[in-house]
Amino acid sequence: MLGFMAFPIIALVVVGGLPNALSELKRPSAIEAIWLSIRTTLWSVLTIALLATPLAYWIGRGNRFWHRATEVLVELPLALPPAAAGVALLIAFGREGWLNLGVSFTEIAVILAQVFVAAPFFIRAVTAAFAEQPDEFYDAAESDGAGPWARFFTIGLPIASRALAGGLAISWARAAGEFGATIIFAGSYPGRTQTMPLAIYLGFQIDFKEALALSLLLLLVAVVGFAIAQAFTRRDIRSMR
Amino acid sequence: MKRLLAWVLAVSLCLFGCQASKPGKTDLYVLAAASLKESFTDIGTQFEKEHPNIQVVPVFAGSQDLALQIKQQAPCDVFASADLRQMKVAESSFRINAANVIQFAQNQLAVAASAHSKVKTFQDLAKPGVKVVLADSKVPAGAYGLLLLAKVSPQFQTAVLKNVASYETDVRSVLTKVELGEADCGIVYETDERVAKGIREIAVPAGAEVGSQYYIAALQGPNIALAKQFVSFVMSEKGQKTLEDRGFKVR
Repeated sequence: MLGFMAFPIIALVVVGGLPNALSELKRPSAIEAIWLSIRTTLWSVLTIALLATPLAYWIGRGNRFWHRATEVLVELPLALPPAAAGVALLIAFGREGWLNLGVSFTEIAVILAQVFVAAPFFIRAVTAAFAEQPDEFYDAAESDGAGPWARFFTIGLPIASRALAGGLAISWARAAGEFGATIIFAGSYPGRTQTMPLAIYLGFQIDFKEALALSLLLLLVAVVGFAIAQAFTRRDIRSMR
Repeated sequence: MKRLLAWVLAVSLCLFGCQASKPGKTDLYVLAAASLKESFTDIGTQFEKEHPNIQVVPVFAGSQDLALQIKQQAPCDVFASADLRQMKVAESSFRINAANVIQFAQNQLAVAASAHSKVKTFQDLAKPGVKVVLADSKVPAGAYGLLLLAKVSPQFQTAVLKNVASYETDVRSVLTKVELGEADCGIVYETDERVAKGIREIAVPAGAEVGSQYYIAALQGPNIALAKQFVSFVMSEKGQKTLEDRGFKVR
């Protein structure tokens, strides 16, 4: 298993070659795609942090049927092919969809696609952290007169901070690698909706070297994302022992 | 847990046994341009009827995609490209003998507009605020499309290119975005408009019409004799009739 997983990654690094990759990435078309990816993923991660944290708190601290049903619903995109996610976004928010947001072929469409596929990774990590927090903390705070908002900000958030950081890192890496939903929902236009993964796909058809270099950079993004996530969650486990 | 694992193993072994390729049949990989989807599916079925021991495996994508796959040694016995340029790219893989390349059909570039869009005439493509979708310039339909716009006038081409919302990876993706109403209009082939749902055809002004040529080749390899038979079938009266029924022009 390890060999099967490692072989393509090693091949990518060896064939790609860092010095070669760096010179390829200096091309205007590559820089355009990289900047777009940086901009959109930062917005996506910010959106996820602001909107998904309260939701994860609500799911994690509750144990009613609705909490579990919501959890399944918002984690569904994990198992959904990204292309199917793109189709779903189109019929929901497209120009002739149920709710026309007027964002077709814009950077906002890219961000929506990224949030849709990446948020479940964050919610999964953070929900678990909220659920693990001992009820006693909350009970004690409540008896001292802390309202629901105070409990969220002074107990829930600080204790879950590592999981929050780890979840953000993972969802950032996933957003950076998002392809299927983006090409279907946002299309592909250089500098506007053509993020790095899309540039890799088109580059594969046009210029293999640039595709290789961008693949290598995305691999680096994934490694950094997962390393940060591990650094936060691992210590979490140890400190609990 | 053990029982679950045993079940998973048993089911996957069963599914392994009934994969697509049938025993005793030779697979013939036909990589064809996206615009040939319906016609080559028909031709493949007809060819299988006449050759019961052969199973045609059709693969449809943008010709530039297929040409690259051929260069990367993907399995391929027959390649049908929507232009000569991508056939040349495939030839550079040394898997195609240039003498085996034959032109087998022609098509016409066309403008499709979505049902509810404000695009009524060809000139509307250049109006500010119109969302135009084209195939990427590496895609045959994209290259032909640029030619079509340039034929009207360079100024018109510039104005329309300002309206481009997305460059798609094959002509059928362009068609889908127009069908869904995501885009107001797009440049496709006449044959695509025939299979499209809920679109309006926008007439191309006289003098700006662009025709396209399709090329087919049997690839070198163990199946070349069969591949040549398939090409002959496409060129036969029956094959050409099928293409004509789908709106292609044949000789």
